[in-house]
Amino acid sequence: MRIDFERTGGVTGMRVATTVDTAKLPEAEAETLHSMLTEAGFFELPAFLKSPEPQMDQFEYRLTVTPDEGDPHTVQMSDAAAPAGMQPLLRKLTLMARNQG
Amino acid sequence: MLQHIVENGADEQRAWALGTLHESEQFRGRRLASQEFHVLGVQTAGGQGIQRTVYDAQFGTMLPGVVVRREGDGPTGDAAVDEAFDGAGATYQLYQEVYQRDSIDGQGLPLLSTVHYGQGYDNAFWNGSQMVYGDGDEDLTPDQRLFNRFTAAVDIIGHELTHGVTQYTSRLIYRDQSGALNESISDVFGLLVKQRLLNQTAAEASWVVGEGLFTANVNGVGIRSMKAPGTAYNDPVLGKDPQPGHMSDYKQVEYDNGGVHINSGIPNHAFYVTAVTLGGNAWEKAGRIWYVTQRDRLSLRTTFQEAANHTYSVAGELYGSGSLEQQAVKTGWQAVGITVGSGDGTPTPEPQPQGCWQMMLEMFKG
Repeated sequence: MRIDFERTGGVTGMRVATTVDTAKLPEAEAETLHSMLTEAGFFELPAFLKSPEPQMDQFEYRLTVTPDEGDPHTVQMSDAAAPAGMQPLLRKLTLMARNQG
Repeated sequence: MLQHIVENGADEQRAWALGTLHESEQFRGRRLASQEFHVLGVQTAGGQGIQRTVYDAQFGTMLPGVVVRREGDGPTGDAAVDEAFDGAGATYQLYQEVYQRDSIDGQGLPLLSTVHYGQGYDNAFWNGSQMVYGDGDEDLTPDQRLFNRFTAAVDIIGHELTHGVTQYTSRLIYRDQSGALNESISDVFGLLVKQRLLNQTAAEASWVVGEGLFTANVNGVGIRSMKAPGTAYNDPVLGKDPQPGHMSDYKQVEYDNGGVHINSGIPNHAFYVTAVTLGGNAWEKAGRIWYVTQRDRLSLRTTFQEAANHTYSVAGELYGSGSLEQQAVKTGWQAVGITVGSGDGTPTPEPQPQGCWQMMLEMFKG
């Protein structure tokens, strides 16, 4: 499974981005990512989860997951509009992008 | 019922009800326009002065959280709580004492802050009704940690509160050039809060946004520099400060709402040059020109060129046509590649905001 992750905005305005191929990760870590995606209900989320007006200095996330079989699914979300269940995954991907997680 | 709570409930109940009203309005696809805040009675009975409340989200994402400090309460010992409280006070004082503005809306709107928001939340934001602050990378070990808590920089507190002022005045749309102006205005007044607190002249100030946010593990002084855009940080993990300082380097990007935190470097630098050209304390003249411009001239889609033209004409009105102050404004914008008075000329005026009764009738039309 391939994960394309991008976080932009925030008061710091820094862009954080990474692409993860779970086949190249240690098995335990790949498993963790798979189950985080499932628990967050990622594949059922709509394409856009936005606050109706841009809330100033929020993070903006763009996450595309391409499973081994099946179509890619992309969700763009503002951080305050992201479901609570997505937050740990978003944090993990941010740290992976910073080579810290 | 929600409106009853908003009108009669205690601060935290009002904040919750207002948040819920926000959401239900969202489902109906309608904006809760700034004037409706007054209809719903969120403001204090004017003239009471500052009204601060700080909440603790306890590392979750539900807002506003638990009340931990109210106006009149002494320090709690929780640094984030006390910094949010004091920073809101310093921001209120700048606007009240220097610009005669009573809080964000000019009518004593309560200042609500939530701290300890989220886990590993390296950010602060304004949600339309309140400020929200994370603790940075508190989930990492000290040797890995890059960000401190976001209340540690008083100019960040001023930055967030100023988004509220913008919401009640110009309402600059948060994307592309108007969004970069919106961002710049928050950086400008955030730094003016800090400079006034430290009693620094324009020449003495660092003009760096967000000093104190980075840990020692970061190669950088802050998140942005108004004095030298693009030089605030250059770090192996965080990357390099992407800000331009001149129109010729304007970044046409899709992300960050068209680069609002990036292209803000251009109007930021124009303000810096104006302020150091004038000398003295930046909040007195340069800040006054920018404040009056935001309050009276800027609107939803103002461009950089239009903002330059407006600051120039406001400077002429405040200090005289051909004055040193007006010339400093011209110099400031010239430094970033914008010539005041050129371009398409005066923009079409935006329609004036509707009166209070008109807004109420609109609300009940369904």
